[in-house]
Amino acid sequence: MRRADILFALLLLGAAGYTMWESTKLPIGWIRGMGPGGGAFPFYVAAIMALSSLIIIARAARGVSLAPFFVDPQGMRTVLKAAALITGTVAVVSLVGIYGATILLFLVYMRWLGRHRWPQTIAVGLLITSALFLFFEQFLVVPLPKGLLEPLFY
Amino acid sequence: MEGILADLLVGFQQALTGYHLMIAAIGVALGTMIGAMPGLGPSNGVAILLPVTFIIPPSAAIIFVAGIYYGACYGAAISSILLGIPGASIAVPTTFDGRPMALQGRGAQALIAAATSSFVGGTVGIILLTLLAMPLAEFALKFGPPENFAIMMLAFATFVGLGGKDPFKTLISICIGLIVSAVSLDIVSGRPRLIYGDWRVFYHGIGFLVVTIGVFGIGEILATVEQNLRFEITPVKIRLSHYWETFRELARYKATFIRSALFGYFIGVVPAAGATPASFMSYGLTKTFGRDREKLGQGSVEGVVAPETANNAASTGAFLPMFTMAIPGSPTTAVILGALMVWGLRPGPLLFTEEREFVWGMIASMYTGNIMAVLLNTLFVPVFVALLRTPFTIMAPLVVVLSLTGGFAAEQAFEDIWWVLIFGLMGYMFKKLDYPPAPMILALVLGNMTETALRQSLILSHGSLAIFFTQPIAAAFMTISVLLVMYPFLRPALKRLFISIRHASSPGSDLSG
Repeated sequence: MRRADILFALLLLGAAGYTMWESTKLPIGWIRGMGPGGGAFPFYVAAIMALSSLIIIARAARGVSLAPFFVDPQGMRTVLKAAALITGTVAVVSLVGIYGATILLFLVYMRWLGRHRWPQTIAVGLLITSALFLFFEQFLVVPLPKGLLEPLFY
Repeated sequence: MEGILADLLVGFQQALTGYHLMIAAIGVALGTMIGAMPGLGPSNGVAILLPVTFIIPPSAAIIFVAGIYYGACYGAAISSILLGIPGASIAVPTTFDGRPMALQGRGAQALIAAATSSFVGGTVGIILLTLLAMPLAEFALKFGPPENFAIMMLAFATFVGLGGKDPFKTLISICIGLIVSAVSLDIVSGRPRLIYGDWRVFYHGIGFLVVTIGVFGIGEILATVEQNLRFEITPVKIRLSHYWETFRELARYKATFIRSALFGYFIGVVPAAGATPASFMSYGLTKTFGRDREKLGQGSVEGVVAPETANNAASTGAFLPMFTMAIPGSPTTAVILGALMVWGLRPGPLLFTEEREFVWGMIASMYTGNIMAVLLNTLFVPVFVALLRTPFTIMAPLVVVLSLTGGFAAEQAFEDIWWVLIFGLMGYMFKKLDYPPAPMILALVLGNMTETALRQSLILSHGSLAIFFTQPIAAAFMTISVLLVMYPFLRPALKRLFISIRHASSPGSDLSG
């Protein structure tokens, strides 16, 4: 936990530092007759954030918490698999469209993480995808991107 | 008083149309479902279903969203009682007595007590909201930039002082929200700001919606997935005789009802606190002052009454500052406040004059909605139990798909799906490392208003920060804010002081060691 705490705070410190630097592209001081410059607000907010990250790092470095980041190895496997699947889903949306990605996610998630049997997996995947399709395309008349699968729909 | 009745009449003309009644019923039913699902609470429900509101007019959308909110406050008790796993953080204290009741075979009584308490809390809350809304809005109308800035500081300070384990992590959460809100254009010069190099994506800014859906949809689901929840549902059958039996028992606890409702409402009104601390604190109060306090924790109805009355009163109370001052009283109302702006409304006291039907329509709908919710939560319990049997390996991908599609559909931009994912992963890290996510959402929603108020105040004072301490109302808000921020640091010292005073006044205490 301690290492994760420090690493995450370092990441935040970096983001805050970069934001401070990015803010200085606009004036951060007082402009006569106009008030504070456009960069001032994000600059000082990022400065507070950087300072807070430093305090968290300093405190965690002195701490002696031995609790691991992942409490239970099975939970770790599940969450990493789920995160990978969600990332994969987002990545294929531009390729196979929202509906293609939806059915893929259901098939892989239910089969791989849920160990459901194939018939149930396919049935639920198709059901949800069709419901989503009917809701957006028929009810709302909002066409969602279909990617390479476009021809299949017509 | 006459003014209020006239306003309420306008509201009921809105709320009692068939369309709005249907919208309220759908909202309450969905809210109850989401509340009952372990891991997902009102803020998650509102966030995930927010995209749906873009297809209906704002007056219906607010009724829908409010229904999800208080519906979830009802539903969360179902899993607290029947599974022993809180349906949402707002119903954690409900497990303390609700679960033992179910295990003793009194699950039906616990469910009826929870629904009745929620109804009492919600109805007291809505009556207070009706009475206090106009006076507070009129008070808030007098606010200028310094007062506006000071009250936003008060909202942030409440989070730092009272919410979360580590004040610095809360502070970081606020800063991230403010920074994200500052991305895209500088409001004064109109030049691009925080575009991180020259990324085209940043020119549009980062929408409130994608951040909220990411954190409360994807982030929450990842955190829940990790727990590998396994639960057993305690079977219950609610019979008519159970109602009379429970009502007779509940009649003993009138004082607990009143105390929990008023206290819960007050915690709800306090900026940023919300229903979770309300239910915990109300349970704690009942442990000290309750009629049968010594039985608490062993399956006492009073232990169900206290948190359930308080969390519904708080969820209603949280609307008061949100509508009148644009300061949300809870994490969920922070999300709703953001939604208000997406719908094209300007939150604040002017809503009461400019959007009279919108505001009062929602207030009136809460009277009828609470009746629907109490019926739903007692008569349709088997439906929700069946729903709880849905494997989590189906619920999880469903929430993911709803989050991604919702994030995309609002603006029809591919990069938004990536933002949902990025903020989802960040929300998961937040959850794991004890960074509270709600302050970030609040800061993101209030970011531009905070900056504008600060800028205008400083222009008024020619750059001097003293303006926040020389105007009486602003000074009061700022002083409370400073005290709240200092509270976590002073707490250990205060505790020592308190203990030493107790020791000094009771000389025999050192004998006990």
